[in-house]
Amino acid sequence: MNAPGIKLGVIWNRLVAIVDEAASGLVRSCYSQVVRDYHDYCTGLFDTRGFMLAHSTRTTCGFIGVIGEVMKHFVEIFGDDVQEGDVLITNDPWLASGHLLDITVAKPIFHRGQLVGYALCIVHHSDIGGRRADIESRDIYEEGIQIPPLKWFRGGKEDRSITSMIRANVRTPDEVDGDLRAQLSALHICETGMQRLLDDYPQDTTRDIAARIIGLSEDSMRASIGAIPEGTYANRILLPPHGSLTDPIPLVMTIHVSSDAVELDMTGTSGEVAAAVNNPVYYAKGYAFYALKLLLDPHVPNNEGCIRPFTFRCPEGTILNCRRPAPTWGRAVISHSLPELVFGALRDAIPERLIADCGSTPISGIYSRGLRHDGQPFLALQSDRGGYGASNGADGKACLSFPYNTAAIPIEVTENETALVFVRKELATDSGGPGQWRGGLGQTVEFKVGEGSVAPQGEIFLSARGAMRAEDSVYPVRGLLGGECGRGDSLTLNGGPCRHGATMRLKSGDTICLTIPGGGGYGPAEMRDPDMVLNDVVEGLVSLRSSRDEYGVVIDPQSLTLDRDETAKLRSTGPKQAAE
Amino acid sequence: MQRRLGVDIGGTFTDFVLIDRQHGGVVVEKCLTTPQSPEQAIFTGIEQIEDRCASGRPLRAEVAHATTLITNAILEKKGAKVGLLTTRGFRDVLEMGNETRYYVYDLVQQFPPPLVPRALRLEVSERTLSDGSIVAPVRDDEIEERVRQLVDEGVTAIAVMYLHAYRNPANELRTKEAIRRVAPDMPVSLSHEVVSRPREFERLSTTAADAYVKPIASDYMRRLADRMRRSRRSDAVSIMLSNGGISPIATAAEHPIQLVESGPAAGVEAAQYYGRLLKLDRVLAFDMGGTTAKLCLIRNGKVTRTDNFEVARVNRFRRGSGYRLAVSVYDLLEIGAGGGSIARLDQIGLLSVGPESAGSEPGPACYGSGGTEPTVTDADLVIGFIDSGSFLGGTFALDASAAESAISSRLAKPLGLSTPEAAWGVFDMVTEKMAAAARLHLSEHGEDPTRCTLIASGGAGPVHAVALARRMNCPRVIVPPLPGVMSAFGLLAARPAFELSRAVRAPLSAQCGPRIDRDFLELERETIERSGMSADVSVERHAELCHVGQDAAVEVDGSGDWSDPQTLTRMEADFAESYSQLFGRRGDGKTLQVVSLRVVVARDNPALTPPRAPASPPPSRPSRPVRFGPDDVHESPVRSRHDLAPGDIVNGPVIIEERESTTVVWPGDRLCVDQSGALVIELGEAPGNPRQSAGNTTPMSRESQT
Repeated sequence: MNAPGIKLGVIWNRLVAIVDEAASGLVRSCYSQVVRDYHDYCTGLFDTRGFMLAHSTRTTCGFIGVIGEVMKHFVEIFGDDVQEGDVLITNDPWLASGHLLDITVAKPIFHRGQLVGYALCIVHHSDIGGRRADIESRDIYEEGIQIPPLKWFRGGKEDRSITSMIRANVRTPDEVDGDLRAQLSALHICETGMQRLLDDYPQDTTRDIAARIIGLSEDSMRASIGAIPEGTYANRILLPPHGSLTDPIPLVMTIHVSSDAVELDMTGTSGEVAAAVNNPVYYAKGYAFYALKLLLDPHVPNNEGCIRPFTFRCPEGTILNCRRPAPTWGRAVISHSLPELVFGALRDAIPERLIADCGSTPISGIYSRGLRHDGQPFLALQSDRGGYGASNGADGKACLSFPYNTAAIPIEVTENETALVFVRKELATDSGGPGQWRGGLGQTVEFKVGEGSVAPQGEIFLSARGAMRAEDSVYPVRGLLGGECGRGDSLTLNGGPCRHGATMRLKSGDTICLTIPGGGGYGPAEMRDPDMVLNDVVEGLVSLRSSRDEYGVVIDPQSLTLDRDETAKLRSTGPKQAAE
Repeated sequence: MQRRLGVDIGGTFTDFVLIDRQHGGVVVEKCLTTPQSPEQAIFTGIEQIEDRCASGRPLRAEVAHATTLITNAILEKKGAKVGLLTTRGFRDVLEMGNETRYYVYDLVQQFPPPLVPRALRLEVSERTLSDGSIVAPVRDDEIEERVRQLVDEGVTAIAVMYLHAYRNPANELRTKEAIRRVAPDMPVSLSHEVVSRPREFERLSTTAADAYVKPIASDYMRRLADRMRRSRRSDAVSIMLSNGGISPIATAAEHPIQLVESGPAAGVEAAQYYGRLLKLDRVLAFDMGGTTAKLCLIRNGKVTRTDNFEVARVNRFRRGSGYRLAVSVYDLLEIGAGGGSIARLDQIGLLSVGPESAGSEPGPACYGSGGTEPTVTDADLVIGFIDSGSFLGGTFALDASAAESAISSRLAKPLGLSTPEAAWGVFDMVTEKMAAAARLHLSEHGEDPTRCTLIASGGAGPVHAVALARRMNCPRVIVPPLPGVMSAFGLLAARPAFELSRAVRAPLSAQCGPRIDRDFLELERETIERSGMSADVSVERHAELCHVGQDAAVEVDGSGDWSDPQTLTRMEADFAESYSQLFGRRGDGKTLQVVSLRVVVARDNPALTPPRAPASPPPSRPSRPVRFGPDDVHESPVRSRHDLAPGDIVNGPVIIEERESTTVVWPGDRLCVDQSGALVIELGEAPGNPRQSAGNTTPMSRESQT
């Protein structure tokens, strides 16, 4: 409410504008689908201690939690040994974002000869060598080239031996090299943006700005914690066995809420597993904290201060705090469940602030490579989303990312760049969990290896992983407050069974069909407004059978009109009790 | 033609500017918009002009036109009932979108309902592959059956989107023929014609929106052109596209979605004109009306375009929550801050302004039409920036006590402030909100506000321009003549230009030269044909280049002989220069390729004498107290704009009134009247500079401001 407050607000807006501009510069100058259409990246600005001040609005959420940590690691390692024009680089999963495919670059920013902060950019690259997108890797050495923290540029001069070493170890050297240069675009835009900002506000230093932004954000977060009653909350979920594992994977969380702090204790969680789904701790922690931020104080732009009231305790050697050299490629299929683990613990305390489970959790992934019809090598990633969970007063949206936020790569882009041809990509009727508020619909996506003029040269390698959350599995997509589970989960190859995540050799005409479940419902289905059920039936989102048996709504199959009397009668006897 | 008439249909008013080339005379007219049949207002206005000119004869003129018809049809959900025909298996692409949340910190987020409901999205057994080969041709009987089904459902327009139609449109074209056989008058939008690029969701979303507005737009345009011709007033009606191009009305009716930002584009053209006239290299066009403010950066006479555009956001001003439209538009920023923006205390007791607007019904409290919530206009009245007796030339008396009581009861009392202090808070907050957004817009373009001149327009623009410029540290504000009808004037001031672009893909090399030259010639022929211009045109060639492997591009001058190595060298150098500006290095060491060609057909800028401010009644009082800070009141002289002559210099504080707006010059500023009649305000240091005064922004309240 005072002049410094106004100025700080303006500076803060500028910081967010700078990182957003950097993200758009990255996209404009990139070379891969993963950046251009999938949006798997993050840019950030930091003070000299590596405290995060702002990150790009467009990002996938897995990076939000880790970029603050990776910058602190760089500062710890390089200390004062940085000069203008240096660019730092690493893909160390334990120091950065959890798997080798993500390469982080960072640049110290100087203003009038003084170090004033850092810019950082993480990008998920199309390839990093190794076994490429395979859940069966036994250790990190099988997963690709490791880049320890290095100086890629010194004083503006590129160390070409590093570039050559990376190029020689990846399947798509031009694309990886190009995207690395696009990351330099992002760093450049952050650097000039920050310098211009300091030119405009000569009395301010990044340290003062950081102290005020971080302090205000921390205070705001601490004040918001009061929304959850003080106490201890616990939750345990089982995730399905991945790869060649045979037992479900338990995740256990105990939440201690005090008046102004939250501690998450993961004791009891599964140990490291012999599949490439282990998480370095910073990555797991990032997703857990993201859930708290969403619930408690979502609208203060995120920065170091927002996470200070939180603690994450997780014993070393667990699947959420793995040790070298555990394989980590598919780490997200575990940590994507952390927001649900948090929400589940609080479902009795604050259900009206939560959403039901999402069919899009965890991310699905189809990785393919081979030679296109014209002999050009391709290497592709494709990902399709299930339905969003319903919430108090709102149906879930069909096919929507959670808790990550990568985008669907357009069918036309995938077909242009690979040897795959899509047969269908459509909403799966009845997949949304019934409820007073219905879960969003999931989808069925079917594609084949191209034939005729677009047939690949030789076989292609492909691995596909869906949600693995069938209703009768250990890990259904649960509804909330009496809402029912999301439905639909299958993966087939030529109509027969197919193992999630394993690399297959496919030939022209082979067909994969993947259904990803809908979101969970909210509140009992019998409470749903019959007119909304009718609309769902007209639109083909809910079948006549489901409308009668699950929603207790009677609709004439010919005219598609609502029979209100029969509906009232059916609902009073109850197609089933408003259970739970 | 001797006379040219610019007509801009806005949400509330339809504005007219008539310029007589021979005499240089200017006539300005305004009448209420008639949403049911927008052309009615046009003819009412023309008749008013004819009466005023007392000629008694039909006014013959070249007519240039801009309209909000398209945007409003989408905003108000008044478009067609659209049916979609699409490739089997892919009807849900429209609803799935890109499957991301538009803001990662909103746990629950709303999306706009698809423009075509699922029950009207029908699938067709056709398939074109990525190489353009057709593995399943369309079957006429199947299409005809589907069309009959849609006709039975009562659809009034059909959109067609097939995968890879941008590469081979044969199936879409054949589908159109089949539709014609069943429903000859059905408006049809084909995806490859609306957006000729891959990415099925964006193409489909844009095509569906095109079909959605097509019946309304084409009916209207036909009625307008017919009536103009029959009444012998005009044979040549042209219309402004969203990217500043001017198109014959018949060409525009083919793909009306290109008109979605027609009015704002015309306003930008007017600012460009004054920027040129006053030789300003960096202009920030600032238009503030009743509901929103619009800002647009004009650098060296050029405006950036974008095809990353959307309309009808469900989540206020959150990017990504509207209908995605891949059409070329001027890159302008719209903020929920206008004269009608409502000021409220949010749940934690902080003051916020907008984006909710009182509109024109009931309007601000001071309109006396039943509005009880305080608005920006009410605050302007209480602090003396506008006057109750001279609003709209004194024809519309404002109720000052209603404004005071709204501010007092809703804001001042709960905040423990006096009414003028609270009014000042509202003014300060709306200034800050616009400044924050404007800084962001400038910074996205790498521009520095201290080098920008603000050109103000709209009813509220000149009232707020100096405060905004001060907050942003812009050194200068220009208020052109006729600030209330800038878009209508912009239609006449715009360079008549029409353009088409075409995707190509070829390495930048002398071998490809002949092919590119051939493509350019073909594109030029087509552009000239569709532009409706034939004589006295210049033709510009532009080419977009990028490295092999990239998708986004940098545009360079594409003129010259493409087989000549020197031309290529020049383009490579231009590319390196732009790349370095954007990304900090001259290139990525990879081969360059040409990805798109663009041809602009244009005539010279129209010879135009800037109009003089029309006569208006004298100010209701010679001076009045005006508040320039929470405790800083100056008795300020009030002048009529009509009485100012070129060369006049007036020191602030001073209030300049004209019919459509009021310009507020602050203490310490100096106003010079330019030869063109534009008010040029050089900002000085002044007491009560809002940067030093109390404000109401804390970082925590930002959500309520955006």
